[in-house]
Amino acid sequence: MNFVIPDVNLISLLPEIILLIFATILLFVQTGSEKKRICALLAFIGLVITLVMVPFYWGKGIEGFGGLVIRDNFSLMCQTMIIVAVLLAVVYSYQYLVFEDKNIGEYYALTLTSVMGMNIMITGTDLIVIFLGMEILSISLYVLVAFFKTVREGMEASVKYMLLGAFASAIFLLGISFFYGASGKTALNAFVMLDGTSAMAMPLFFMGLSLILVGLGFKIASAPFHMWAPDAYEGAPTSVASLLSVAPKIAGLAVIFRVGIGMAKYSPEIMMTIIAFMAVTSMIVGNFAALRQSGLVRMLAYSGIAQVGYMLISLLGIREGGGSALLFYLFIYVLMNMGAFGIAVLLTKEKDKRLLIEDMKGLAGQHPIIAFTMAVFLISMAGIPPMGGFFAKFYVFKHGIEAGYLWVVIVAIITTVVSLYYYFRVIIVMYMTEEEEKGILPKHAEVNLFNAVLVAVALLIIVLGVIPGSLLEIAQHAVAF
Amino acid sequence: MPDSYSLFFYILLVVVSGVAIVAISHFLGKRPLTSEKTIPYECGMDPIDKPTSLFSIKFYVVALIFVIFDVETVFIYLWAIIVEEMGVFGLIEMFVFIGILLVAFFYAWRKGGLKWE
Repeated sequence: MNFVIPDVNLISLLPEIILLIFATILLFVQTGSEKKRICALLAFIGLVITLVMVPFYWGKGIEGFGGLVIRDNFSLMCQTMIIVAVLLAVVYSYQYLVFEDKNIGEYYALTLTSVMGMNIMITGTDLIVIFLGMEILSISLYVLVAFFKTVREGMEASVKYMLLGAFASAIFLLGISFFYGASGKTALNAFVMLDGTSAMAMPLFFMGLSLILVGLGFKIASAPFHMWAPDAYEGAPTSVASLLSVAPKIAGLAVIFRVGIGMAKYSPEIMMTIIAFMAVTSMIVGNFAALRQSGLVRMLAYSGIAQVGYMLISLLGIREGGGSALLFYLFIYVLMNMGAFGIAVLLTKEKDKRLLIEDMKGLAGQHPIIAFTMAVFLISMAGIPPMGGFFAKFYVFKHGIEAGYLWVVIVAIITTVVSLYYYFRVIIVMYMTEEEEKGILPKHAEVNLFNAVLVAVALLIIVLGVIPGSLLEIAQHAVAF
Repeated sequence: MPDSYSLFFYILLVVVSGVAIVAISHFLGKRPLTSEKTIPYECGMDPIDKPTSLFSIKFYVVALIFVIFDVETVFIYLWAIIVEEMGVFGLIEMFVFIGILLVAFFYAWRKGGLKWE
């Protein structure tokens, strides 16, 4: 018996190891008066270290574990976006967890663990590794959703999320087994080797592929599999909801992209049909359901479903370089969605009370800066120039048309018009209604870190809307294999 | 292409046989059922307790802590087969693995998972 030690190359997983170490330290932080600050700071430092490491990996394409893990430019770009999103979520959590909770260390530890899971998902080139990352991510998030054990809605949301999530994971696993049965491999590049000679395996292979896409479709909350999202976002602590609405979507879309690249040289029609179906249903369901919502977080949840639909359009043009449009859209999406959720965190006073859109009456009169940033995020989501959201949608539609899916793009444009109504309703409530009693926030909210972060995010969206060139260039560089 | 029909036929077969088993026993089974027949089967004797009875959540915690060591043992068995070929690398690897599991154990200990009160 000869055992060959695989080429482990721990460098390829160094960011994950660092995150794990910080998560472990956070688990053991002792109770103390300064605990809340220390925990947030530790989580922040851990994330910043992994962010700083990105430029050192750029362009090297380091592989590890015998090719199971690859840290190429695409995964680095996704990693950057995930960490930016989670850094914002940590800032929000610091603002949101105002009362003393003795489990605060675990909150940040679970956040870091979920980031680790996402990083493993985006760097994995083997379906088993991707599944491992997906489970690390999911289990951390199930716990985070139910973090306040006394809030009934949180528990309910967590149970719903967990049951449906476990079901989706099982479907994903079934897909892997079909895939393995067809190709004899679990590596994603097994698609390429399978060159039509073994026609016997084809139905099995398509079956596996569609089941894998169903499992991933659940993680990104795209439309036939979106049912959990509004309930989970609303029941979860708002700071967790912000994380939940952005980061897993990046990881899920990255994996779909990798699957698509594996398929690109092969017969991708079935995959494109599934993606087109998911995109169209997401846009229709998300936008029309958002029209009827009275809660801000619920409205943002449905708008997130619709945004995923737009992002999936870019994957239709995967052979023509649609990946760069996906990355550009994702980056803008991270900023605008995290920003809007940041406002929701700021306005949620009591942790078990829903925030209604009506509650934002007269916000512009009292807090012009907060209202302005919210308006920037919403206008960007609606896709109106000069915000970044416009160019994001523009590139996505361009790639959709180039790939020959004109009807999908037409649906997207029509639903975008629909979406203007519910985005602008919030702006109208903020700017054009007089407040009746005292507003939702104390009169003189001081200029603090939180407001500064929101303003910075809003400025970044405007800057990316005016000069999108450099980000798009990086994105194109990242998907050039 | 005939192969896709075979997959379709396979799915059809699974569905039909699944429905058929339930349907046949529904139509052929003798009714009314006696009270003896409706109780759950428990190796021939009468059931001792209801399946929905409550028990302490502490058993659950103990079971979880047991899993830490259980998994550890399973992996050590596999590792022991090839430890000679792996050499020093394998030895370090296993201690890293045990270390990671011990962290989980210490965490459970600190949270009071080993206290029964």
